[in-house]
Parts: sequence; structure tokens; C-alpha cells
Amino acid sequence: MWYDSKCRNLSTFTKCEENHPSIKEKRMTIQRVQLKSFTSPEGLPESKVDSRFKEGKKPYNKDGYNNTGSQLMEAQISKKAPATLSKDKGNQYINNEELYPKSHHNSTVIKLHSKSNYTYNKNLYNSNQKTAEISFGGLLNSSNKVAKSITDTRAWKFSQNKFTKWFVNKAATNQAVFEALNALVITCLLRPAAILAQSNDTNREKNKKAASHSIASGIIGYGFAVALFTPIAQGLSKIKKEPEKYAKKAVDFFKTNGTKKVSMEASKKFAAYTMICTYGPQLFTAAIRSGITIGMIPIIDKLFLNKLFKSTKDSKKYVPPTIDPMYNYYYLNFSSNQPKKAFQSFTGVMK
Amino acid sequence: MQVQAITTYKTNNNQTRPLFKGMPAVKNIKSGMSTAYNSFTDAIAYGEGKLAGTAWMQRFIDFMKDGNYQQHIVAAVGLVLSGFYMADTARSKNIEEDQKMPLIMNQGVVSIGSTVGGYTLDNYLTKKLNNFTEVFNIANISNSQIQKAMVKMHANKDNLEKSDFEELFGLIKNQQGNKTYTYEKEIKESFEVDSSLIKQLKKGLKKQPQDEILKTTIEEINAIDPKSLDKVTKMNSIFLKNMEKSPTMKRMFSHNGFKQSLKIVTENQKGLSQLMTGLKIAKSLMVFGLIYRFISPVIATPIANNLSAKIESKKNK
Repeated sequence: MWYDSKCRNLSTFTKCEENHPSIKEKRMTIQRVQLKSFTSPEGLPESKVDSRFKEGKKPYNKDGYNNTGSQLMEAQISKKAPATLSKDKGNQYINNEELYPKSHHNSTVIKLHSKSNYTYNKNLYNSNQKTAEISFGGLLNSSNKVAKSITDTRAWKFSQNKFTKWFVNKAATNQAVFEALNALVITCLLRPAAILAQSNDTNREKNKKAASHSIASGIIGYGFAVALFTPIAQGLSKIKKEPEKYAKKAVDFFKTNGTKKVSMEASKKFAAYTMICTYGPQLFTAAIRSGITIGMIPIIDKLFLNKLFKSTKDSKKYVPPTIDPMYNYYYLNFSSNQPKKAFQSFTGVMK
Repeated sequence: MQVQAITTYKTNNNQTRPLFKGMPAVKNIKSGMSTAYNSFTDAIAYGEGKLAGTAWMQRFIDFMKDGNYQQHIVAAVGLVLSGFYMADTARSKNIEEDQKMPLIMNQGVVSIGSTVGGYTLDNYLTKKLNNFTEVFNIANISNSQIQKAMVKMHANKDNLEKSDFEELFGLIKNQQGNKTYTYEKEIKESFEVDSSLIKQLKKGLKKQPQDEILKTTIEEINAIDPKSLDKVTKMNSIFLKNMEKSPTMKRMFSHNGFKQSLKIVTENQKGLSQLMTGLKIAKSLMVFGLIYRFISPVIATPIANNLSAKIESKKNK
């Protein structure tokens, strides 16, 4: 910066700072800005006037006050300042206090006419520029909001993204694999985070095992779903392409929608049939899947999950607690001989 | 002595000559696997086609196709699987019999609560994401002319007129044949007064109780016999009569027309109907999956376990 080389001392730095024009701007209050901003009786030149405001409109309400940006602009453009503005008719200066909302300033302001103000520097004198523009959000109660078209929104770009299209098409063609994908994300990221967040020093080993259990179940579920349900979805896509070859009796059934005839892509019946074919077999495969997960978990633990969580113990099977047969013959028994409750090992419905 | 199995053919002079046929070329294991997979999926396709040809499956599909079938399928499968888990706890030998019943009750309560929560969340999200679905639908139209027309109509959804629809229908052609769409057929005749429209009329009355036209329409609709066969046609005629006088009913009619025109566009565009069904299914599957696999085991089951433990301790005292 220019003052680094010259103003090294504190005393000179303050002086340099005061005189820098960029810093002077920030200190200019609205009063000083309004002193140099004004409306001439001639009005703005026609090149700067918007065509909407050329027609004759009353810029003021019945009370004589206006709070909207459009009306302010119209007041600026109006060639004749109305008589309600100037309270002292004999005064050659116009008091523009009533043009601006009262929240902007608390003191009286005197404006001067001068033609040289058209050559003002836009960076310094901002208030005039604010009122001249239509699309801004600065003043209160501004009703000139330009409506956004759909093509500029975020939803438009999100819906045209390739990944969203792939994701949504997956849900339309293969619902079991889509559900397994969601379960992968939930079981591998959300659930271990929640489990480990609840861990104390005493529960750490147990919670690590639970986290590894969830990750393993997610991975196994995804692999199982992909292996089982992709051929089923492939068969359905073949029916879609050539329905007369693979499904002779059901062609007319799929293509009718009430009284209209519709293509296979747009048929609601075929969409419902895809979900029945891909999601229905989960009823029969749930038992097998749970057995495979319980069998595969120790393998996955050995391979890489034990290193992830740094747990040394291997996952064991459930061993029920034993009852001491000599309990009734002890001299003193304070604790109960009943085993622990089963609720502590209950982790949820869907595994 | 060597014996070789060779295919032969007989010439005109009754001589046997060997016949050399070319075998299909299997260059790699990959190509062999792909052909095997192809035949496997062919067999599956034939099986699925046969299944779809049966009468009971067609009746089931007709029952499910309208409305949110994906919710019902997911909820049914979830409840059945939780039933299996409850049966497993009842049959297990590691758990004591005193503790089995509360465990089973826990599992049942959690499963039912999660299904109810899934239904409510999904129906809530459909209402909130109504605008997004329309934007998604319009953004994926491949034809740019039709897309521009739909963008215009979406911006002017409240005040659509006959000319707007006819502009659109001039750009669309049916895939099967040169079928033309008209305003009177597709939008006026297809207009039906549903229970949702009647609810909107009542809401409009609440906001503007001074509107007499809405009052008269609702009174006339309520005066119709619910058992009459011409109920729907009478309601439609009443609505179309009084529509021109009230702006709220015009707005509802234009909204309905916009939706109908969107449906026609999606049916005729390639791949767009699949995207829309996928969006509907994806939303519900993600909601139900979140609840079944994250919210119920992390939040609901510890609460249920603590409650049941407290109830047991009170019983034992």
C-alpha cells in the first residue's frame, strides 16, 4: 500500500490514514452525502430515465409522504417539485427531507441546486445511485422486486446434474439396490458416528464392536443386493425393450392406462410391477441375509475393521451367563444370582 | 480303434460326407460369461413375463398402481420382517421366558411407530417439495422449444388461457401416430372435481368469507346425492358454470390445466416419466430407510428399553 513506505511512524500513519480518499469515504455520513446529492428542477436527462416512469403518475400519497423506491425515483425525475415539499415558499432552496424516509437521518438537510452534480463520482455518492436503480434490496418497503425465472435457481442446476439423474434412475429401475445404497451410507457413516459419540471409557470396546457390526452389515447387504437383484432388473429392462417377445399376455395390460394407450416407459402398471419384482423377494431372503452377515462379520473384522477401530479382541458369540449352584449355601449373599437382562443386548429391529 | 463322432450328410449318390459346422467363437472367459449371463437374464425375463400374465398379479397391480404404492410395499415388508424377528425371540433358547414378552412388545411397538413416522414424514415432504418436482420435470425436457413454453406457463400458472395451451399442443406430437391434442378434450373434458378440490374450495371460503360464489358452489355440490351415478358430471358442470365469476376458481382451473399439460409432455418425452417415478420412489425409500436404520435403533430403542426395565422393576417390587 502507498502508506506503508511513507508512513512508518505512528504519528505520520494517522495523518496519512486521515487523508486517504478510500478512508475518507467511509467516514462520510449520510448527511454529507445528501448535501451533495439532490434533485434539480430540470430532472434527470432522458437517457437515464426508465420508460416505465415517463407516464404521469403521482409520486406522493395523500399524506404527502412516500416510502417506496419507485416513488422516490419518480420524484427525482419529476420536473416540477410539488408545493407540499417546500414548507417555506420563499426559500430558494428545496428541503428534500420529505423525499427520503425519516429513518435515514434525524436532522434537517439543506440541498443545493447545481448542474455539476451529474458528474458525481458514483463510488462516493451512493445514495442517489441507490434510488435510481430498480433492482436492489436496500430501502425498506421496496415493492419493485424482479421475479426470478426458474432457470436461475439452484433446483434447476441440481435437477440437470448427471449424478442426480443416475441416482433417480436407479430408484426407478432397481429399488432393492437403491435401498442397499442408502443403507450403506447410513450404516457406514451415520450409525458408527452416533454409537461412538455415546461412548465412555467403560463402553468403548463394546461400542467399537457395535460400530464394526453396522459397517459390516451395510457392506454385506449391498453386496448381497447387487448379486441377487441385478439379474432381476436386467430381465425387467429386457421386457421393457421387447415386451412382445418376453411377455405376450401382458403387453396390452401394461400399455393401457384407462382408455388411453401408452408406451411401456410411461405405464404406471409397469412401474408398480418393477417394484413388486425387485422389492418383494426381500421377504424370502431376509433370513439368509442375516445368517450370512453373522457369518461374515468376523472375517471383515479381521481384514480391516480391527485396524480401523484399533480393537484387539475378536468378536465372540453370545455366551449366556451362568448361575452359581452354590449360591443358596453361602453365608452372606448380597447380589442376585439372576443373569443380566436381555435388553442391553437388543440393538434394534432392522439389522 | 478310434471312434469319432462326426456330423455327416448324404450326397445325391448316397455317399456320406463329413459336415463341418463352425462353433460360436469364445475368445475369452469374459465373452463366455457375458453370453451365459445373457441367457440367464433371458430366462428370468421369460419367467417375469409369465408372472405378469397371470390374473391375480394383474389384479394386484391394478390395486396398487394408483397412489403411493411404494410406501405400502416398504411398510408391509418392514412389518413382516419385524414379525420374523419377534418369532425368533419367542423361539430362542438364550433368553429367559420372563423377558421374552417385553422384548416382543418392544419390537412390535418400535416397528409400528417407525412405520407411522415414515408415513407422516413422507406425506409432509410431498407437500413441501411440490414446487421442486415441477422444476425437476421441466428441467429434464429434452426439446428446447417445449421447455421454453413450459417455463413461460410455470411463471404464469395462475392466469393460463386457451391460447397458451394451444401453443403448447401445437409443438407436441404423439409418439404412436399423428395425434393432435386440443384444449377442449384434454383440459376441459378431463377436468374432475376431486375431494382435494373441494378442500381447496373450503379453504378459500375461510380466507374470504365474503365470497358468495364459493358459498353457492359448495352448497350446490353438497346438495347432490352421493349415491347418484352422474355425481361427477354434475359437480364438473357446477364448477365450470361459476368459474368465470370468481378468480379463485379460475386459479384452480389453470393450476389443474398446467398439471395436465405437464403430464402430456412427460408421456411423450423419452426417459422423463422414468425420472419422475424414480423421484417419487427415491424420496420415500430414503425416508423409510433413514427411520428404520438410524432413528429407530439409535433413538427409539434405548427409550423403549429403559421404559420396559422401569416397568419390570415396579412389578417386581
